[in-house]
Amino acid sequence: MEPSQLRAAIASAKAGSATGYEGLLKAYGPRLYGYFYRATGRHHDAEDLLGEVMLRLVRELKSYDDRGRFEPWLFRIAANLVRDRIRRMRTNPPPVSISEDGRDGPGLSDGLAAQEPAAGTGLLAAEAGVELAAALERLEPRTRHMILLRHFGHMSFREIADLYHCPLGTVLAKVHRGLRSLRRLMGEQNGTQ
Amino acid sequence: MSKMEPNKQQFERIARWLDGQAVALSGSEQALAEDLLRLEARTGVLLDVSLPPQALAAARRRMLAEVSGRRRRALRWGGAMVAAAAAVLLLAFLQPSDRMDGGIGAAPLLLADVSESPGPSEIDALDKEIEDLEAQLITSTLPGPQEVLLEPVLQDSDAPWMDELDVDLEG
Repeated sequence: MEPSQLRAAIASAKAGSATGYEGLLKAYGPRLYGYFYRATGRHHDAEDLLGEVMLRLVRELKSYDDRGRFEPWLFRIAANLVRDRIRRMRTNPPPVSISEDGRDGPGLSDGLAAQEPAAGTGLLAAEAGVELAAALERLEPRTRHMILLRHFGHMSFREIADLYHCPLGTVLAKVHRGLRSLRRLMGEQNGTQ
Repeated sequence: MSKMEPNKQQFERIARWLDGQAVALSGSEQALAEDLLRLEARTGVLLDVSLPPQALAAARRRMLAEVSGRRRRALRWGGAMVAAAAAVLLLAFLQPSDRMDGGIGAAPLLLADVSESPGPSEIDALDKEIEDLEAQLITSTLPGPQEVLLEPVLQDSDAPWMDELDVDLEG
């Protein structure tokens, strides 16, 4: 979304217009979904969290200061939702739904579906997606989230450092090592097959 | 020979450069920055996922429900405020007293009435005056000396009349 379009959509949404919010959902929905999906590993959670973050957006947009960048503000909310969800999943694991649509919780096929890459990218990409999901799982959680926020949230190193209250250099070191580990882990998985 | 790992200051400098700040990097720092950008690009292609239409529709539904809910709440609040303001205005105009013609402006007049009312000493004086008047009234209803002398004569003159009357009635 162009900066002028984004400003217009935010202003419209702040005024209470549904069109403004729809514009923001259209612009950021795919990236937010991707972030939630890679962070939780489940379609069901990603879908629920996307709805949740849009609710938060409606409730909290008034507090957004137009002078700051919108994406980090939005993905900060998203990151907090993921943190809370993961914490809850650890203390209270959700029941597995046997229904196909998984309305009453994550379905049996959800874990497998989580490893699918973008539709229509072919079998090789699907295989790489599976390897990537497994490799991501093996990263230290904070490093994984930093990599995901860099990619999906387009966040700068400074913004991530502020979010995690850690030094700027530490963020870069973690992201760089994490990315190298991912490539290595994926290479290992290729070698074992 | 393995490459030297950058120190904390070097990582910070590279991060600032990658964030778009004007920072001069050494050759090795530049190489690390480029390596990171390359790794991010290669990994990013694999990270992307498509947004399922039903997930988009569900998020849209929840979002619009919240937007319309907020609008309804705002309208309800606005309506309540207008109703309250109308009630205050109505009360101000319907005050019965002739001193209340000024509506809300009548309040200073009421205060003036209170400040002009008699104090305790004035009330005591009025009270005494009322007591004196009552005493005079009681004294004036008691029979005087002449009325005391006339009383038996009046009783005698009334008696025959009463007897005749009794006879006639009995006859």
